[in-house]
Amino acid sequence: MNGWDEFAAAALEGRPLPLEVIDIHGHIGDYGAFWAPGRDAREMVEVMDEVGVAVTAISANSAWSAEAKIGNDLVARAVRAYPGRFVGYAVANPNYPEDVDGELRRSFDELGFRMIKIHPSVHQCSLTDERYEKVFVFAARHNAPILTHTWDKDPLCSPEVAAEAARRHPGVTFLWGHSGGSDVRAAVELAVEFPNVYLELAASGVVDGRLEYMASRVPVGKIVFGSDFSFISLPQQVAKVAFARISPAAKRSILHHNAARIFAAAGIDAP
Amino acid sequence: MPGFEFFDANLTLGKPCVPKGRIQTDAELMREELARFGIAGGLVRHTLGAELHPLEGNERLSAELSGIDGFEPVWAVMPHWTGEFPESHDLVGRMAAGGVRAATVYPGRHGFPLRPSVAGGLLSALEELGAPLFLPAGEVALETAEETARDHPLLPLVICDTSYRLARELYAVLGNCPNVHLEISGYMVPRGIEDICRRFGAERLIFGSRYPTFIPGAAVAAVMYAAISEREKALIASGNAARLLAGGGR
Repeated sequence: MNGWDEFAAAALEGRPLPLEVIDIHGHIGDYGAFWAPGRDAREMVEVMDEVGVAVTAISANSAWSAEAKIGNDLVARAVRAYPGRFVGYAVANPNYPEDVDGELRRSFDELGFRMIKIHPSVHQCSLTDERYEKVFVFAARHNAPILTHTWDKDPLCSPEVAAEAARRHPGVTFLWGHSGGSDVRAAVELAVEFPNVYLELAASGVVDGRLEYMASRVPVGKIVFGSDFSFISLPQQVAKVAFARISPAAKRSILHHNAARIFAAAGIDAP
Repeated sequence: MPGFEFFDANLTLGKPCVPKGRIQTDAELMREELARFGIAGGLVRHTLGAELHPLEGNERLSAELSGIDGFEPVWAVMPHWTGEFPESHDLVGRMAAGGVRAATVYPGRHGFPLRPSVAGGLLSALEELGAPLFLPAGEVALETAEETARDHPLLPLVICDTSYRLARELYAVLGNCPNVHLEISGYMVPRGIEDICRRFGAERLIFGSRYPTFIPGAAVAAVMYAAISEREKALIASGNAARLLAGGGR
């Protein structure tokens, strides 16, 4: 079809992509800042089926408060309700350091989570702030990957600050959410220096050429698909990869293989 | 392949002052690239119309689109009071003579409000012409869009370049103003297309991709994956734009 590969052809026709996509950056549930339909587990699974996403790693929008437990419990219910379709991220609020260890332990031991999500912008806490130390120590001890929000215009989680955190904690696998934000150049330049850093693709701006730029400067094995779904919608995020001017093999790595390796290292069953 | 073609209501030609993605300056190349996505035509703005001056951009746009079948210019317009832009009746005459069937405004960049005392004559002239007016979300607050829609109920308004965070206000505007429409390139809301179709009707959604900054396939995928009927997809893909451009009501 017009020279498109199997991924683009599927997206053009609204068919599920022809492999089991792993989405490493998802959210579930209502959010105070803005409303959207389609954010509960059932609706998310319907959309995942339509697009071809086998599993989505999720944190709860309701975890971004002083009481992260509410969100972590919501995620656990979704994981239980749809076995194999969701993987849970544990969230702990570094502004309440007395709660961090306990909530992470509870999330891992009782809820079965194996990954951690942090958001320096929401928590107003720099990635190099000592309040995150407990999180990093816990992650290293449990071999748990950390998905962190990164944003080039935010000094709390700019690529430079994220790189410093990666340098200080070589035993922690960092997934740089949004690949550094609206301008990916700094994240791309820095990510190649750290074997413990991956670049994640979620962005509401589906900028043409961005993935091609990234894939030309970092090994494709360091790029993982993430969508921010259901914070934002899924089809456009999948389309970014499906229509990218990169090889089908590179698309398979980004959409599945790289995340599968991260899952396996963390002890998570991957499709 | 679907039984309908796409008509893209959010295309841009020209170099932007600050590039934020791909740039397209060649209308024929634009046509060829979009054809691969099943996009057979569209409405085109020019960067100079926003960043330099409407007259400069409009002239360039109409010249560059000459002979490019299926692609039409969207003229940037502004009030006439300073004498730098044609009076309203003159403007709509020029638009009609040039086959220009849609307009846009940049109140933020160009430093004028849309309130009746400033832009009322311009908006009334466009309303009389039946030309849809595109309101970029970064240029016009939804509150202003709603006031404009109420003041000019026969003027089709298309809110474009939106984001995913505005449903609480947008739904009120859509509910209150039947002449308001939404261009979908930035409306990346989970099940957002489906929900607007259900609440307000597919007639309110206009396909746009924001090419060349955005990947045109992203907006195509948004429609093709949507859990709506083929009739609704066809309306969004091209039917609604065709209706508005034909002056077929709100």
